[in-house]
Amino acid sequence: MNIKRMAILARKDLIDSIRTPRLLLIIITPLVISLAIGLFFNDKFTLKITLFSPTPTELTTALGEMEFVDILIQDTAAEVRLAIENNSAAVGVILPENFDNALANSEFPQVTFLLADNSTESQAGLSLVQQTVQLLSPNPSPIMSSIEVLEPDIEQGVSLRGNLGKDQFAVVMFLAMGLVSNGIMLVSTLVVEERERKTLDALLISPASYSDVAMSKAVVGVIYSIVGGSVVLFTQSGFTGNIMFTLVLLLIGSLALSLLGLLVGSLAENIHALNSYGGLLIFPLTLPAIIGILGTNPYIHYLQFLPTYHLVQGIALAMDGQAEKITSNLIMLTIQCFVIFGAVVWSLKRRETA
Amino acid sequence: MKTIIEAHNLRRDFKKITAVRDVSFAINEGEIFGLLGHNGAGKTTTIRMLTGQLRPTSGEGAIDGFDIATEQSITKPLIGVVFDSQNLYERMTGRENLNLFADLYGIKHYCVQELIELIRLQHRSNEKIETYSNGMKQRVLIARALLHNPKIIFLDEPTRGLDPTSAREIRDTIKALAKTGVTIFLTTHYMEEADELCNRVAFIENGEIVALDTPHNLKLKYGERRVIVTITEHEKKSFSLVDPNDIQQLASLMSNGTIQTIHSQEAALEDVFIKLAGQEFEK
Repeated sequence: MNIKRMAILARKDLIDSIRTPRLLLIIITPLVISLAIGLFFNDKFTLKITLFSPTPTELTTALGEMEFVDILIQDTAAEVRLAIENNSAAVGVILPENFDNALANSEFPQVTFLLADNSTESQAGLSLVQQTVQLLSPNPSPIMSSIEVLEPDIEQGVSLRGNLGKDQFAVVMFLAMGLVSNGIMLVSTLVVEERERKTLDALLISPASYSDVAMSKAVVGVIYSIVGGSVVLFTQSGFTGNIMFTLVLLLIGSLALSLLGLLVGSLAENIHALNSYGGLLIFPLTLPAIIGILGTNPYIHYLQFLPTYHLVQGIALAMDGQAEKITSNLIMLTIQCFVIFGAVVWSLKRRETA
Repeated sequence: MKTIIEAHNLRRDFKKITAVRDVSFAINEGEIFGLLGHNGAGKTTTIRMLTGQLRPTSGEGAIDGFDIATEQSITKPLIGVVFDSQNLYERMTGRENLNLFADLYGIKHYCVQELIELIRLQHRSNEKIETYSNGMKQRVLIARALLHNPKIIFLDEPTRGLDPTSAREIRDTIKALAKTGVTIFLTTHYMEEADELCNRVAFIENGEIVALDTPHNLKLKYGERRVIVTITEHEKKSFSLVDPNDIQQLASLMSNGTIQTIHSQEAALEDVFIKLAGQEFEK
């Protein structure tokens, strides 16, 4: 491989992709969808807490003052349970009569918490309410808690979302979709179009080798993925937590998916075959992001062989600032990158010796 | 004279089909060599093997003494190829197409300008290829093949699908190129074109070379020398110049003084091919 020739070919493909309507569509579709959803459904992350108190309490005021908390006051304890059952809130709080007085007098009032499930959102809500109560009392353990989880079974399994809310994880989902689109469809289409238009023959007569041509397409995929991914993260407030790790994962993830696109492009003989192979690949690759947004899933760990699994989980952790937990995702993604690269080298050699 | 292209028992199989069957020839430096044959006869496969795009199943080939399969890094800069398909980047301009290849060869862009002037595309060079006529595209393809001053140009059906004026322009360009000493390897369907341009031609049929010589010698060897005699306005006769009976009849007519006009009828290259391959070429 020759870096200079790869750069010349990559520059050509960068420009050609913008000029070709089909390729331009592949590049901008995830961006447009992401921006449109951000524009029209720009809901900030809110933690919905529903509460019943027979007598007025400072707790509602304290929780209500929090920007990200949406508090729903109910008239009865049964209404709290109903709201949780209907998924109208993540946490339900049932206070006893004269809660504030009992708290001030260190009487350890009995508080019932109802959680919709074992999701991180519910757990975070519970923790928030408990900490707020703590602030209202001089005692280290001011209340007697009773916690009931309404649907504990649903939330057994793995959550790729981590502590991110659905709105925040949507950014990760759009990011993953953009990377899959640029990596798989853009790169493979560039390879197949070069072959179908027979311009590949002309390039191979020049000093460029098949490896130069192919790897330049992967470079184009990585560049458009990083640019597109950065736009999604920037416009959707995704640059939170550990930004450096997010960018590292973005880079390795784009490389893995672009190499995968290269492999598909090398194997597909024409656009029709590519549409079939590409379509077959895109769905499973986007599954971790789609399942991830729904919350915890007991079967999602079966998708660990997909680079998007570790990409999605890693970025969600990085955005949540949990850098120490990203190591395994980074290692797995890097290993997958090498495995795909090995397959690409095999397919390139197969083409070059044909 | 120095041999610049050599093929020795070149063979290429595609699964069960043999596209080129033990083909051998040698082409001298500065020669215009024509490889003629039907669609699927093996012309393009032969070119693809000589230009390093396909590995021969067996046999050997050399460009300027360098092996076509193992020394491609040396042979690639020696050759330029005009493909049978107009494989240009349609959404790029003519100039951008040429600049791309100039960059790959490490050639300065002012050389591109010179070539654009040579192919008379100065006024359209900054327009996209998709707006060009077939003739203009073909000229860009030739310019692309010439960018790095190759010793040999392979032209695969260079005038196919062109109008007569564009085809004439391309033929004139080929002649001008030959005068500069470039060796030209040409494949074509058009026998008149091969007759006009080539120093030597080879007929390829079912992957095998069935004849190879100068067009003149081939016509002499395989063509029939005849004359057309007009006796009256409505009566014309054709006589062979090698058949003793025909010669006797012709002599008799001439002695009677009944002949109005007499025209020689030389064999055309097409007749030679029909005789060799038994099929008529696409006109």
